[in-house]
Amino acid sequence: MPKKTYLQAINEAMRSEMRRDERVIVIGEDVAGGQGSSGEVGGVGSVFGQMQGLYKEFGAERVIDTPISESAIMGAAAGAALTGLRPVAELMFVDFVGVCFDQIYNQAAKFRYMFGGHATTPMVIRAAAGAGFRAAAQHSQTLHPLFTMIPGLKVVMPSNPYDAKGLLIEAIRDDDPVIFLESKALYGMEGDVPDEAYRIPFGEANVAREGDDITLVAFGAMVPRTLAVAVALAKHGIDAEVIDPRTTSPLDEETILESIRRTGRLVVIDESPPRCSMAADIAALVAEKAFGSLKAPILKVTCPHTPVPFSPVLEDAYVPTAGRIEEAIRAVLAYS
Amino acid sequence: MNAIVPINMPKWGLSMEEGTIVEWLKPQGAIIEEGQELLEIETAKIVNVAEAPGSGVLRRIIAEAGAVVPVGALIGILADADTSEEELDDFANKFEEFSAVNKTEVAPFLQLSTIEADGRVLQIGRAGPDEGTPVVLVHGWAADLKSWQFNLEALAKLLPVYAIDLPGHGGSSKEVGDGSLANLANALGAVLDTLGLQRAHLIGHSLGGAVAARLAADRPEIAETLTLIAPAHMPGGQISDEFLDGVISAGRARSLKPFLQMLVADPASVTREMVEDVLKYKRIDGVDTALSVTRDRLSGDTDRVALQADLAALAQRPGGVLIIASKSDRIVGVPDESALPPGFQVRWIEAAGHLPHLERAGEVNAILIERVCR
Repeated sequence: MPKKTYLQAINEAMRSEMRRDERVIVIGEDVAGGQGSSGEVGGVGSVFGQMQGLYKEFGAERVIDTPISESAIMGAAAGAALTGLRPVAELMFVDFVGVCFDQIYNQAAKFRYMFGGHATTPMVIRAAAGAGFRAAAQHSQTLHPLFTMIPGLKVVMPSNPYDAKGLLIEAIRDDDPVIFLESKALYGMEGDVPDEAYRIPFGEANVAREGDDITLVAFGAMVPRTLAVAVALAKHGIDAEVIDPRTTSPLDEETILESIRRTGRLVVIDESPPRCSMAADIAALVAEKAFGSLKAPILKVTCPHTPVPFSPVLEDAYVPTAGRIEEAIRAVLAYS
Repeated sequence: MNAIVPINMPKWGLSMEEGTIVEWLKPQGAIIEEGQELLEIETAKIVNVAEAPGSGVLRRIIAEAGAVVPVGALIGILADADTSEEELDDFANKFEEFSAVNKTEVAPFLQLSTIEADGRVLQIGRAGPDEGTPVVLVHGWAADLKSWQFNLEALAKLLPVYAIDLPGHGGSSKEVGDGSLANLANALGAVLDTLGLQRAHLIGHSLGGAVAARLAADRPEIAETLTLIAPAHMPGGQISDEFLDGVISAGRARSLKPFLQMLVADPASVTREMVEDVLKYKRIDGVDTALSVTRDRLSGDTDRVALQADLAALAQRPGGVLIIASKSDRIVGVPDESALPPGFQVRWIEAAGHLPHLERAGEVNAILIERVCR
């Protein structure tokens, strides 16, 4: 199978869906790659090159560069979706959601419900998320808990190139608003990605590693990091199961609960401040529905309750590290 | 100079590029007989035991437990007790130089390419020499050419080998038309025509066995020999609807695994990777339709009745027809030897289910080699 990066997988999914369905359009800041500037039009395509080449292939009708107004982007996309297009709107950094949140949570997310099922809103909001880029507090957040708690939104956090392509295709073909969070830390990650179009259904966790001693649930960029810790610990006789839910909404509760019933131990790894995080959510789920199976208290490995620091030393300590993940695993296993 | 035997990282299966040394089962300095279990190696798919490639003293352990090593790399050295340390150093250095020089030239064992045949884009894998009557391998339902991974190397040592992805499968286009045996056999024939192969040893597994038989019946001149491994549609056989429906409807690893376990005698041999591979295949656009259409034809009567009517003619072929089957096949059932026309020969494989060419690869390879080299 051909090797591709996470970034290439996203670009390929876009290209394949735009070829397949002419109702699929792209709208956002710099998605055309310099249109209106003196530079080459269609050269880059989004700040990390996610939409590279789409303007050249599909033209200005379907790859729409906008002014710097996120509320206009999201409002236009929601309206276009209602009238039958399938827009993929880009929020350059997920941190910018504040200025357009009304369009998302109080408009797009509510249409199907408030119009009694007579309207669908097949829109995707793609956004780059996560820390580790020395980009300071306003360009480094993940914010997935913010979207996950809104009924009417689906939230996707791909953790590898194969999933990125299959989940983005599924997002575009889905009839509801989907928040697609691309991890900046993973854009360069390589993996096997088929050339053909394929779909990964929402709400189906990937068991990234099977094990019987402890269950580790991780999201997005925390999945490869957790997996590496699990593989290293296997050499010391610790057999950890690593679950990547892939989507936080809908959430595959059954895969997590089934695993806990076998292992009795849980660590949740979430790149997010701890309060109202997915770590808190999964911990509550397991405490409520699998309490009888637990052999030890649940531990969460999260960011601290602070903004993302600009200091490189502090930023590296802010995101859950391999060391903190291992420490939590050992603490849960040592409990008696 | 005394005999020095290199111990290399083995290549187990098509996709293996590196392996992890789990544990040396013999200490440095131990006296080793060829074929003895020497060390455990973990790949992405399996942990397996590597056997000693020769006899001698295990003089050097080069890659220790935990090391991740590329396929072919030197991991240890066997030599006589009186081989000097200098000779061993010299050997290890030369080996390294040699691999460094040859590294860029090592081509993938199986060359994959796509061709257009019968109006469809089909993927083929090519291995082995240019000379000789080619061997054409046809996989079963919901499988692909990778299912020959344990047979390719043995066959390709002797003859040119072509492994085909049937329409709707693997890297081929997912268009299967009416999904009939005739449709698939036409595509197979078109592949052979496009490749310029006038005669070939046809080896088919399961649905691929029925397809190969259909082609040999329709175009007798094309088949040098015909060998069917756990073939569909034989008298006495019964295709499991439970299996076909289960594979189609299961959307998750957890629900798919029990159906894949029906394929083998030892359920533990179905790995996570095998389940994931099938899931990845099922997610591709068009596969759902391809599987449903071929399922309907497989469980229907038309193709089976037509093929069984042609078995007597197939039996008249020089060399007849060889069936390799297992008595505990839960997918296509057990062929009734007494109902097969004379000219059919059945070789029974013990301790295997529906995948004898994977489960008992060594035994099946020996039979296949005997068959195609006769």
